[in-house]
Amino acid sequence: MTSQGRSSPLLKARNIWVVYSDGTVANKGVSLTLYEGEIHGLVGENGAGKTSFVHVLYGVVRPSAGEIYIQGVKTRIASPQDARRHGIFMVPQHNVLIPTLTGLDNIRLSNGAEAVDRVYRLVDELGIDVDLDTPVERLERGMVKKIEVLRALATGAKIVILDEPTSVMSPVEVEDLSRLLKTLRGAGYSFIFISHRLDEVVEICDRVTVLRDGQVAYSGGVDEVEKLYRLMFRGEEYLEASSMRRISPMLRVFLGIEGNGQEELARKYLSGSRGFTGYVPGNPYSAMVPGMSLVDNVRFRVLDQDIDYEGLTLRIVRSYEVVARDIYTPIDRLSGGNMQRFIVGREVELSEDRCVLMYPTRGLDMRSMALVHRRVWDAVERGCEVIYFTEDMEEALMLGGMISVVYRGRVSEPVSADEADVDRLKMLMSGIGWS
Amino acid sequence: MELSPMQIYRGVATILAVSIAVAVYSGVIILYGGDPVEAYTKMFRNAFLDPYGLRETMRLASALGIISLGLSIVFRAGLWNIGAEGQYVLGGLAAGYVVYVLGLQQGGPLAPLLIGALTGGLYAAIPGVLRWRLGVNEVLTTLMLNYVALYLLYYVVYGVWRDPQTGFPVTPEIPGAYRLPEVGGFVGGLAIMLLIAPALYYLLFHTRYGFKLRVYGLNREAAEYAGYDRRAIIVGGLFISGLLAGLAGAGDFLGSYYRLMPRFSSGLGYTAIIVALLAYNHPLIVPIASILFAGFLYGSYTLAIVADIPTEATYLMTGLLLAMLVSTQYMERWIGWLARRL
Amino acid sequence: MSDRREFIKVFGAGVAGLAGGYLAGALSAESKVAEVPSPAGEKDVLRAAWIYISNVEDFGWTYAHDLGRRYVAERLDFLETEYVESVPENESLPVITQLVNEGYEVIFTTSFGYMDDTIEAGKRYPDRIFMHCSGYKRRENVGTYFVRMYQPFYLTGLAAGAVTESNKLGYVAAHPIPEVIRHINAFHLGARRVNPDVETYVIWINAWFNPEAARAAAEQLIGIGCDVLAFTEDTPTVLQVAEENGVYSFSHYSDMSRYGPNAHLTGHLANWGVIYEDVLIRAYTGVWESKDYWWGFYEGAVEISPISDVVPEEVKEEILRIRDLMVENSFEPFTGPLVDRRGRVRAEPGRQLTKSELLSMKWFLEGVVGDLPGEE
Repeated sequence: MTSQGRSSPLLKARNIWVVYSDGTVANKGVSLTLYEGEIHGLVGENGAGKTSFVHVLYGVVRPSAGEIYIQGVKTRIASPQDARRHGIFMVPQHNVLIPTLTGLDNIRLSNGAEAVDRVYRLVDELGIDVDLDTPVERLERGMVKKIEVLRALATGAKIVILDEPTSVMSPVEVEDLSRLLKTLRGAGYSFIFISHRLDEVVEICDRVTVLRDGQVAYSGGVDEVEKLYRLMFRGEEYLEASSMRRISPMLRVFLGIEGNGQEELARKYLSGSRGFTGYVPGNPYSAMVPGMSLVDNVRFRVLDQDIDYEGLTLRIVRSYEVVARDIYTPIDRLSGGNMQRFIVGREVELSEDRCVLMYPTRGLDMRSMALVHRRVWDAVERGCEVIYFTEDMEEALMLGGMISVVYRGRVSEPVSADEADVDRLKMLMSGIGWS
Repeated sequence: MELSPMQIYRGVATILAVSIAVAVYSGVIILYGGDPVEAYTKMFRNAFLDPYGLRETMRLASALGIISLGLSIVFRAGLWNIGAEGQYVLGGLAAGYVVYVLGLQQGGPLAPLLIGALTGGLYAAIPGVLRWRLGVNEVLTTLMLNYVALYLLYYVVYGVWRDPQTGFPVTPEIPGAYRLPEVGGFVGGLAIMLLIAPALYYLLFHTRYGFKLRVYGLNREAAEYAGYDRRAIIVGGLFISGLLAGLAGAGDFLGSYYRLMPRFSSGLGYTAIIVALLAYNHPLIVPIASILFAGFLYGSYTLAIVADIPTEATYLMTGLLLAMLVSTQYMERWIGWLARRL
Repeated sequence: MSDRREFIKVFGAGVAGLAGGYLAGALSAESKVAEVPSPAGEKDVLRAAWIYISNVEDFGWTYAHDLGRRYVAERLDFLETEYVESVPENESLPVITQLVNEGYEVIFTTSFGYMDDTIEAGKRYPDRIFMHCSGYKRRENVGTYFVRMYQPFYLTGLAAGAVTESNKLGYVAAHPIPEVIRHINAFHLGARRVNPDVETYVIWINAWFNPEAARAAAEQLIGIGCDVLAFTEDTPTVLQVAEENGVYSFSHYSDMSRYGPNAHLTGHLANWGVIYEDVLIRAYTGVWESKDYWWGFYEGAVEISPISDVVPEEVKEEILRIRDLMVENSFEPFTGPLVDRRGRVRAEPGRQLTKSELLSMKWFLEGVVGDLPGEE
């Protein structure tokens, strides 16, 4: 533990409260201490308050109460510019680099020539493996994330907040990023690492803070993983999800990082079905109408049919545990996870003989994922064929069904989840072992 | 109808915006040595209490309102019809064609009125087809077609339809048979507007077509995802808005100007855009907004007369009002926050 | 004041309510004769208002009308004036309505496009006086007025004929209507008086106010060899173009000489003030009745600017001599023999054209070059 034994923490947030104008209380007295040269995991389900908390640290959200100390000095962070002045930088979940430019040009563009020198020095001194001379759009997402981290350091950041950096990475890429962070940790940089994948957190982080319902449920070392699981997922659901592993040819799982030919595959499955085919596209926002109520968000999908829309909406809300004031609430009032569960629920429930789900659990916590998996199996059991795309190998194994890996337009021979060889799947996902 | 907190904040914000604009402009009036209270009182009196003033206000309000109603539909579909000006002019021109060239006497004003409206609708459908088939941005095409309509108007007014009696660049006054009956001054136009408003409300909020329009406006991708017919939405939406602009143009020609002249429309089609936005593109609010805006536009001349403010400076009031209303979005949030605190 | 009240009753509704129709107008637009107290109390005030098509600073048409307003405002101590500028043609009726509500008793509408609205206003407010400039529709409380601009155009034609070297005169013309045709013919007639070889080339710009089109037309005329340019357009643009190109031009409606100090030969000016004065005094004393004012040199409603030294002395004297004759009403430019360019005799030797012939002129004299839509 590199962080142990240091006297003065680099960053200390004490008793942070965040109350939004619509009355939502996102943080209820959250405290966190970050030492120099520490990778600090921040975990919790959707809506646990992770995003609000780091937004406070980054000056996006003003806390309703609480203090922030930087190197022991009480500091007010009024804006992201302010945060960067104090050496805090946030790498958002989605790529913000300009895709047509190289990594180097991106850094030069946003931070000037001086920053380029600084990055070169870092790369040389620490022996970092990074491609700065290829246009960003041609790089793997793991590499892009590394460039974003370096760009943050080039601005003079001492603390980098990483918001779900691994959510769309292949296992090999995750390992690569983990190596980079550990190297940088050795050079004295500190990281706040947001994730909901516990295996990663255990592997990468020195310490971890678990949030639940806006409060700190645990803060300390990462050794007690079992305890963490219980804290995060309230026990049973996760176990239930993992014990559900069943096999059916009616559930086809396509495992692979997005952009490897999934769109074409999905299109193939969307045509040639007799009844209504449910479909959750890769970007769930294109499947909802902001500004319209939940009922209308069901209605617009199957407009010209004789359906009890209110009843159906109510059913979806109940069985997918969507938290909403009522079914007349505009859909954009829901939190991201609730919105997504609602869309997935609508498509699964409307499906007659086939349902195509593209990354339906992306960004959902384990509990929500387990819920979706249960409903998917319900659909399979009533005779509906489910085509399920995921980027997460763990999820594919948990879900069950017949798994194929998708890589650069190629689809591997399906294997049933209980016979799958984890190492082989990993290799296939990374492009190794294809004949 | 239960009002959601958002709608209430919105209302409060709008009232606040208008109040701020009025307060700032009071300063301008004082600067010119006028008495703001007197000026505003007279403004209101001239626009709404005086029988003829009311008539003028309502005449403008109905033309403005009918155009805005059409725009509120197409704006709801997320399509920017900037061409109401041209559709209005072409409505007048088509009605003129029926009167001056075809000379269709049967039915009096009915034939030119309907043909004017239809022409306006078809004229707006052109950018619709271009958008639907070729993906051409309707902002550009509708705007450009304004000029086409305008030059067509110049062509007939300065050329083929010019009044042969006087040679002035205006067309001859239309015979009495073609004129819209003057029902109590302004009641006719107002009645048409007040009939159209609930009809469009019903269309927008209680029919499948209206629902599809709104979905398309809120999220185009979602509309495609649900498999909606883009043609019906794009071409149909633009057609409806053009139809109403054309109706207003033909109506003004047959009911209030009785002739065409180079300045047949002094920017009515553009003002209507502002009115539609002021009314949050809601067909039941548009009539109210258009009446208030018309009163405000006419009342601004009162300021020029009473407070000796240059006419140009009265445009400042319009600008202020708009700036304030645009910032209401921010005010909405602020009011919401304040409401929680209290 | 009581005398005046009696007077008003005698003259009836058309001219009633001049002194204090303020409240009557405000409360009931339909009200006829008004037995109401004067708002000014002691002194009887007449309130008059002008509606202008453009900004008073246009240095042409509207500027000249506003000079007229200022002229009467200074001279008539019973008068209160107001004006509203830049009123689009379609919006004059609401402006008139508001002026009536504010108690204005005489309203001048100074653009042709206001004609229908002015007549409508006359119907609505029978106790107010309306004067519409340049139109042809009247009713018992709506009069019309214009100036005999062709008279100074005749004189400026003399100056043009004297200085031209190419014998080609240019004319940038607004609309092919009798008024403008009259000006062109008068200008041409004057030029031929001193120089029988001149031709006048006409380009229509189809606008009263369009500096860009005026510039293009002026440059085109210079291009075909015209070295003196007359114009009917509301800005000093043509004079500016003349100055830039070393040719000659004029002032139109109001003094524009500073826009072309070298190019400025002389100018045709309107003095609307004398018409306004006559209308307002008649209105104040209750003896106004609807008619068409068409005033010229004789009434002092038109004038020419000082003549440039470029014009030969003997022509200068001739111009001033004819001017004085017109002031005495003993000369009329449109006197026969007049033959149009299609060879038709328009006036036998010695016969003057009648007012109605002047007002419906749709032909060009021999030597005027250019298209004339609707030529008879």
